[in-house]
Formats: sequence, C-alpha cells, structure tokens
Amino acid sequence: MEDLSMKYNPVTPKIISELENIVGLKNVITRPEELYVYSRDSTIFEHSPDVVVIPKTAEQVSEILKLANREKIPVVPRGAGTSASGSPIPIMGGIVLDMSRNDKILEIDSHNLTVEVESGVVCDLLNEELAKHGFFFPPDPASSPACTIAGMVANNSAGNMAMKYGTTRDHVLWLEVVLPTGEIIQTGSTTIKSVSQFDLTRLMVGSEGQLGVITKVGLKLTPLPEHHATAFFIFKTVEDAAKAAVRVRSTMTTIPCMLEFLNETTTRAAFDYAGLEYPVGYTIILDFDGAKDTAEADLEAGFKLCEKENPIYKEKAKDAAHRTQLLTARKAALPALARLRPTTCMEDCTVQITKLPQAAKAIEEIPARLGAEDFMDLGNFGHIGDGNMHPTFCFDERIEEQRDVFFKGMDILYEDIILPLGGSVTGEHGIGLIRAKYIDREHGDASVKIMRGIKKLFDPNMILNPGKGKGG
Amino acid sequence: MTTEPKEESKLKRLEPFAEREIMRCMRCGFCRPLCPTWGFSEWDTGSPRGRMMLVRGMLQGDLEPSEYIADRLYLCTTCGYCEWRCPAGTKTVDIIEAARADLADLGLGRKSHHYIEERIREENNPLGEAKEERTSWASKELPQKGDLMYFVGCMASYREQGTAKATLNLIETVNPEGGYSVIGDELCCGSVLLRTGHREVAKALAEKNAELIKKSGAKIITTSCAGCYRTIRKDYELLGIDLNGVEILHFPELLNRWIDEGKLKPKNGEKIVVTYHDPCHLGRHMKVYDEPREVLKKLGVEVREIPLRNRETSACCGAGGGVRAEYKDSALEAATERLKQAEETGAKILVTPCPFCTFNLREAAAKNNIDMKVYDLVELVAKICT
Repeated sequence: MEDLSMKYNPVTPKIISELENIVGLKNVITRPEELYVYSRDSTIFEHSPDVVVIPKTAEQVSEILKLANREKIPVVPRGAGTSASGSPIPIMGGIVLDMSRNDKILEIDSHNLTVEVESGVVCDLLNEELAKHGFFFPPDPASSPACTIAGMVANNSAGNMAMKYGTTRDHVLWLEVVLPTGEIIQTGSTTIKSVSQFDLTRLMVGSEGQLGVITKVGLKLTPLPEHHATAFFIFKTVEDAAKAAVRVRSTMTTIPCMLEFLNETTTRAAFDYAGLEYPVGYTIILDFDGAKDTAEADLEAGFKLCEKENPIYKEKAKDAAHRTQLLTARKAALPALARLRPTTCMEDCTVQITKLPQAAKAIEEIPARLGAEDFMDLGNFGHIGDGNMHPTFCFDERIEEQRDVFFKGMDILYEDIILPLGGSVTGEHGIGLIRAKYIDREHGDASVKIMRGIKKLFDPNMILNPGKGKGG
Repeated sequence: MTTEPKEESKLKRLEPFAEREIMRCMRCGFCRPLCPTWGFSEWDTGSPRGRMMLVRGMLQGDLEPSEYIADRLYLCTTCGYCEWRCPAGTKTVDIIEAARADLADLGLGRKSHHYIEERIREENNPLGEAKEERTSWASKELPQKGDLMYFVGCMASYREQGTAKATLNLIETVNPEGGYSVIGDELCCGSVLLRTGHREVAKALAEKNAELIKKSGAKIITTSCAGCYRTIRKDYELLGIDLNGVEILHFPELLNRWIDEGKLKPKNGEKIVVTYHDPCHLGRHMKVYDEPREVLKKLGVEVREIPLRNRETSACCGAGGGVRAEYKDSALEAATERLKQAEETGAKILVTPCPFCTFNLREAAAKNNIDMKVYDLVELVAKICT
C-alpha cells in the first residue's frame, strides 16, 4: 500500500480557527484528554486526532471537507465509535467528525413505510420509536444499544436476523452524503423502486467513511412480526452443531429469523456469567417469527432436523419470558468472554453454509496451532445460519508477545482457513484497519484496482478516512 | 546494581481497579445513549465510556490528573445506569468514586464539595443548617429510645420536611404506644462525602452514627431517604462499621410489611393516578423496585410506569453524586428530561421515595412550568392512610 502519511499537512492554529468559524467555538476541541478518548474504538489500535469537530448540518460538513481537501488534511467521520475493525481510528491524525450528536428522527411515514433520520440516531432508540407504530428496522448488530444508523450504513451492519431480513443495505432507500470535495448529494430515491442511476446508495453502504460523510438516511420500514418461536440445543462437537445448522438451512423452505451459534469456550463462559445450569457444549439457537401458528410449526420442523445431529440438550421456549432466558446465553457471549482475559478482540468472517463444519472445526484449533493455550482463549460465536462467525481472541494486549501471537492468529484465521474455503474476511464489521491486508487475496488485483479507482474518483486527495477499508 | 525507589502512586484508590476492572471496558458504548450526563454533554468524556478512558489514561500514565479530567468525572451522578448496562460488568460507579477520592487527595476535588465537608464538620449536615434545628420539623419532643429507629437524613430534616412529618405520622399511626426513636443528634449519613471522594470524614460520621444507633436500642432502622438507605445498608459494612445485626429497611419496605400485617389501611377511596420514579440509590444500587410500587398498589393507587424508562432503565433525576451541589444547571436539565418522560404516562402526579429526588424534580417542574406535582411517596401514603 502506498505510504500516505507524507501526503498530509498538519492541523495548524489557522485551520483550527477556520473550523471554529464553521461550526462555532464550542464544537471544536483540541484538549489532549478528549483527543485521547477519540483515539480508540473497540479494537486494540489507537491514534489521536489533532482536533475533534461536531458539525450540526450537511452544509457545515461540506465547509469542513472543502477546507480539509484544500489543505490536504485527513478527515475521519465517527458515529458512536463502536467499530470492531479500527475504522474510526484517525491513524493519520487530522480531523475527527463526531456525527453522533445529530440524533433526530425526522419523520416516520407509516403510509409510505419509510423513516428519515439524522446520522447519529442510535439503532435501539430508533426501534423503540418505530415499535410505537408497529414497525422495526431489522438489522440487529450486537452494538445496537449504542451504534448509530449512519455508522451501520457505513459498515453495512447486519446481526442476528440478517439471514431472513437482510443487512442494512437492504433497508436503505436513499442517503444524503457530503463528498470529500464538499458537494452535497442525495443518492437513491424516496420511492421503493428506482433504477434511474448507477446504484450510488449501495456503493455508499459499506464504504466505511471512505467515499463520503453520511448526514441523513432514508430507511424502509418493516412490520413487527406477531410471534417468535425459539429453541435451544447443545451439541457435543462443533461438527454436530454446524451440521445441524446446515441441515436446517438447506432442508427447510422457511428461512429462520435467527440461527445462532456459540462454541464450547463461549458457552461455558456465558453459562458461568449468566448463572445458567445447562450441559456445556456447542450451542445452537433457532428462532422463527411470523404468525403464531406458522412460526410454531416451522420451529417444530426445525427442531426435528436439529435432533438428527444428536444434541446432548434441547429445549423449546414456552413463552416470552422463557425465550428471553434461552437467549441470555447468546446475549452474554461477548461480555462473558470479556471476563476471561484483559483483552477481547472479536473477528468477523463468513463462509458458505456447506463449509461451516470444516471452518468451525479449523477455527477451534487455532490456539493449539499457535501454541498459545496457556495465555489465550478463543471464543467463537455468531450467525451460523448465514455462515457468519466471530472468532474472538481473549488475551492481554499489554504483553507484546501476546499481541504478536494474536496477529499470527488473525493470519491463520483469514489466510489459512477462510480464504482457502472461498469465504470472506468480513461479513458485517468491515475492513477497517485490521483486515486491509487480506483484501487483495480475496478480491484479486483487478477488483482492488477498480475499488481504489472509485476511491480516487470520489476523493482525489485521499483525505477521507485514509489508510483503511477498501480504498486503501 | 541500584534500583530507584518506586514512586508512590498518586492514584492509590484506583490502583486496585487497574488490572482487570478498567481493562474490562471494551468501549462498546452501550452505557452512552441513556447516561443522564451524555444528554447534555458535547464530547465523549461526558459519557461513562469516555470517563473510563480518562481513568485508564491516568492509570497507564498517558494522561496526567487534571482539572479538566476532574470536571468530567465529577459531572457523573453515580446513578449506576452504566454499571447495570455494561455487558462486561465494569464497576463504573466504584471506579468513579475511587477516582474522585484520588483526585480530591490531589487537590482536584470540587469547591462545593469541600464546602459540604466543612459544613458537615461544623453542623453535621451538608446544607449548613444549625445542628440544633435538626428536628425542628417535629412539633413535639421525640423519643430517643425504641426498637424502631427513624433515621431522618439531612434532606428530610431541613429541606423536605413534609417527608419527615409524613414518615413520623405513619410510624405513630402504626405504633400508637411508642417504641420508636428519632435521634436529635443524628449526623449526616456520609453519602455525599462517599460519592464525592471525601472518605475519611464519611467514615468518622458512620462511626458516630453507629454509636447513636446502638444507644437507641434499635432492632430496626428505617429511613425515608434512598441515599441514606444505600449508605447505611451497603457502605457502612464496606467501611467496617458493625451495626450489631440491626435490620435496615427503606421506609416503603416497612410500609409494605405493615400493610400486609393489616396495620395500615387506606382511609378513603379516592382514585389517585400517579407515575413512579425509581431513585437510583434505591433501585439500581440496592435493587429495591417492587416494595414502593406494591405499597401504592395495595392502597388502591394506579401506578403508570414511565414507558421504557422504569426500574433498571429508569433515568436519573440528576441530583445525585454531588452533581446538584456543583453543577446545578446540569442537575435540573436531567430532572427536566425525566419529567418529560413522566408526562408520557398522562399522570399528573409523580411520586418517588427519596427527598433528594423530590427536591430536584420539584424545582425542575416549577422552573419549566411542567404540569406535574412531585411528592415523596410517604407524603402520599400519609395522605391516604392518616
């Protein structure tokens, strides 16, 4: 990758003064304590910006980007900073745009089934409001209590229900975006159907803050399902659990709402954390939604399929409270792992569902391959129904040797396991800072060249979130 | 080879959290959207996640303790929402209080909290009122010995005297023969000092209060204040104070017991509709959610829950953790937000079993012309039962 660091100019007092003129004095900060807080996301990487700015309008974002483009200063847009890929870390310094304070739901249109929001609306808070009208926004990443809608758009976030309802991309109708050169554009259309342009909306979704700054989002609304029918299984081996998932996905004509997985390490930690007394093994959670009779009938069919892989424990949710209890283990996965060691690094990979048994087994063997069983635990959990898993390395980032082993573990995961199986190095977290090295191999030189060309077309001076993502 | 003597840490109280607790914070930000101070802060240090980063920065030597850091850490109301919400179980309230204790030792405490400490040293209460006037709300001499001790607390003694009067009224209704005490020499429980990092004075108060409790012959201590309740029930034990196994009850817990025993009944059948605010020190800190609601329901009061923001997800009134003393505007802003949430219920009365919450919410309602009457729960119960 080309060395970008020499391309940029420092943020001078004159630049700070111009930023203050654009957004007002109280929306610009250079205090070291604040810069320190904005230096990280949820990964182990860190780098301070030179200044953090809160723009309140697209016009202000436009003025900031024109200034940065003229002066060749890096700009990193940031939502809630919940990224698990290093995407909001300003590794070249420069300006961080904190977009999380623009958090108004502008219009819920229950006739046209759309909602218009500012960039910083939090996913769960949007769903609280939509529920009052009988709707929801289905993408449900684990970060939903905190992540912003524009952050979800920039990462094409997905979560538990993507198998049935799709990812964020499938719910975005239009975007208001400020380009790195300062133009404000609206992609897409407020209509459900529109093919009157190249699909700039889909290009922007998942672009990780590299092509433009998202200031407004138009989303489709989805009616809330009447009922959820849920079951919980524990298997003795990772292959049995993965085979059960494959059996459900490739046999049933109904798509489950959720088909989730926890490996043995994660299951044990989650049960300890939540005080659950089930046999420890490899956990599968199966959920169907819809009309009550239909969802229950689907679950019955799925239940029988899972039974064929000889679970050591199986249970159906009797009611909503019981369902919540069964889902506790899944919700406790990451926090439970976070208690094992000082540092928790969650990875993200996908394979076709038929490759799941092989991939899941190989992932289990990573600590042994690294000779790291004494100081590293490897959790693995995720959305096995769409082949998306989150191998999670638990270690101590403060010990250099352990950091090195972690990076070797990532190489094994992506280069030795996922890519040879024809998988993808990220299903929903994005390339960010940590997976850029694998994209040449996944996509090939020609594709990467096109992606870099697109980046250059949008951002000729490479000021927007440099050194990361698909555009390099 | 000689080694330099290790420099004594400036962050003695925080050090025990350094190894695991601080590292547990994954910066997931779940704590952020509903943090009462995040709502009116510009920057991420106005959120629990940001504060945990500041603490981590100080412990790792990346940041020096500073006036700015102290300001950010003292803005926290210690409401405990973040701790409840944290998926990794980070003990954010304990960490904030430890950080404040270290910052106060470094001379970075808040001025208003130092005044509070001085007033407590002089008058045994943080409000600067005369200690001789502590029971001036009572119209008669109060018994000093009995099985049941009513620990009034400073807010009910001086600012929300309706709470104290109503509590005594109910105690007398159930115990017409006496057998209870209200100690005129009662001292501040120490809550505000513990929350703001002034631990030494708080311990001295706890020791003196423990003596008074023993002298009163109490088998049960009850208090109508959520802050006093948390402090006497939880912090005194942590401070190593032995109360000889005395049972400690928040007053609505005792009311609930009395109603079940048939000792307290509603006098009239007036239909009353209220909404209920969970005080943070009672709810999230001590997990007392049901008893106050039970009391109201058993007395025929319709309780309308604040949608999505009740019990564990209740929003803070904004006053706690020393915030009202130092950042009054912020405290009132949080209270105003809470009242707006309460208005969604359609109820015109908000009750809460804490005189400090009552005081702050009432002021915010008056200041912003919000059509919501705010009462301490015991005032309403006294109105119904006496």
